[in-house]
Amino acid sequence: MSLGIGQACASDPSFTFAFQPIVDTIAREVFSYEALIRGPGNEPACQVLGQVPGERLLLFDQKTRAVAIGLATRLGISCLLNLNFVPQNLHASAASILTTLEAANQTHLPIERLVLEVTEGRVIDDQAQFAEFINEYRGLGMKFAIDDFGSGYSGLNLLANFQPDQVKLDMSLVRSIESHGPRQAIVRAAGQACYDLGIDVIAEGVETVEEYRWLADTGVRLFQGYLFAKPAFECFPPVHYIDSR
Amino acid sequence: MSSLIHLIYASVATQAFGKAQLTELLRQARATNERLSLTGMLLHSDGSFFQVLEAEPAVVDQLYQKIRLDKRHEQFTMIIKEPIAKRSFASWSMGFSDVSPKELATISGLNDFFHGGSCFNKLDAGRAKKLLAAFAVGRWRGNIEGAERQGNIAGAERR
Repeated sequence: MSLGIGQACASDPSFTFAFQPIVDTIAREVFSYEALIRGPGNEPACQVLGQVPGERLLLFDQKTRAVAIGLATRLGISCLLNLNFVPQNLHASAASILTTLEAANQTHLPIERLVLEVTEGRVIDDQAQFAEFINEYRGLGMKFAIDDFGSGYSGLNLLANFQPDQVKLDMSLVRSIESHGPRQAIVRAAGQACYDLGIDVIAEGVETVEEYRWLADTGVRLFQGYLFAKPAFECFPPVHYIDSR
Repeated sequence: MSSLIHLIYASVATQAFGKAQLTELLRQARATNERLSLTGMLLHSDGSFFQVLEAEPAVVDQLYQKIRLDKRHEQFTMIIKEPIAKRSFASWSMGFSDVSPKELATISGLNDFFHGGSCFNKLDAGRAKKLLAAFAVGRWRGNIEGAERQGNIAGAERR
């Protein structure tokens, strides 16, 4: 049996996790690992989630995070742990966060290490109410990230109601940014707003040295992408750092 | 569940703050803060203030309202107000530093900032520290001459 395979109930698909580092290229260290769901044979996330009936998705989502925490703890995690989070409504989300906190307590992972990634699209329905809800958990030390920032309908105005701990720039903004003026302007503005509000900016999906260099020169220091490390099945992969010029 | 929040704001002095005025300001603040279990830090740099207040929500709100009525400073900008799990300045009824903008700009890690009885010794990489770093490179400094408003995201950190 594999290291971290879980199953929420008999009818649910088996799953485990791959981990992809988010690296701090100035300190040259891993800042966090994002846990990415996989099938027992490293099948992609969509294939696993596609087998879960809609009405079970929330419960399944809860269960997976507990498994991710357990697996990351057994791998000896000593930095942050980014977990994906599917808030469907605030009431259901509360139960979901509580089980995640419980899993952290059981494995003695400090709650300050947990970062829940919420996608922009989920947050914007009712920003003020969502902010209030999230803030309750921030009082416990849990961190929050806005995932896929810049891919949806919202943007910087999201930060007026809710100041997360991290903003993850969507890979559609990152792609070929070194030669794309509009993307550069957006990333510069978002980066400045985040910096002024004490929010960490993470560039996602960085694949080329040129993308990395442009972002690094603009002041981004946290990166996730194939250029540094691909997601690794049930382990923490080695990181390839780019030499500074 | 914890009921601690922090409120971080910036303001601009309406009068020149010499050593005597600053000492008096701090004396007043510390006496009140100890009574209210309020902790935090106050930074003064060439006419700009940056303050972190940590306490229960009602205490912070009341104090901030009072602070805003204080004629010694103006142009209040509330940068952030949010719940926190623990205090960043637990042992400080009000940590304080008065530095020139030049000194501020050259501070790199901010950890040796308040050298000697340093209230920054173990400041974790949370919001307060990041905002302080932003202030250090010129953000949130109102209409102060020489405040850096342009540049890259991380200000001085360009490589």
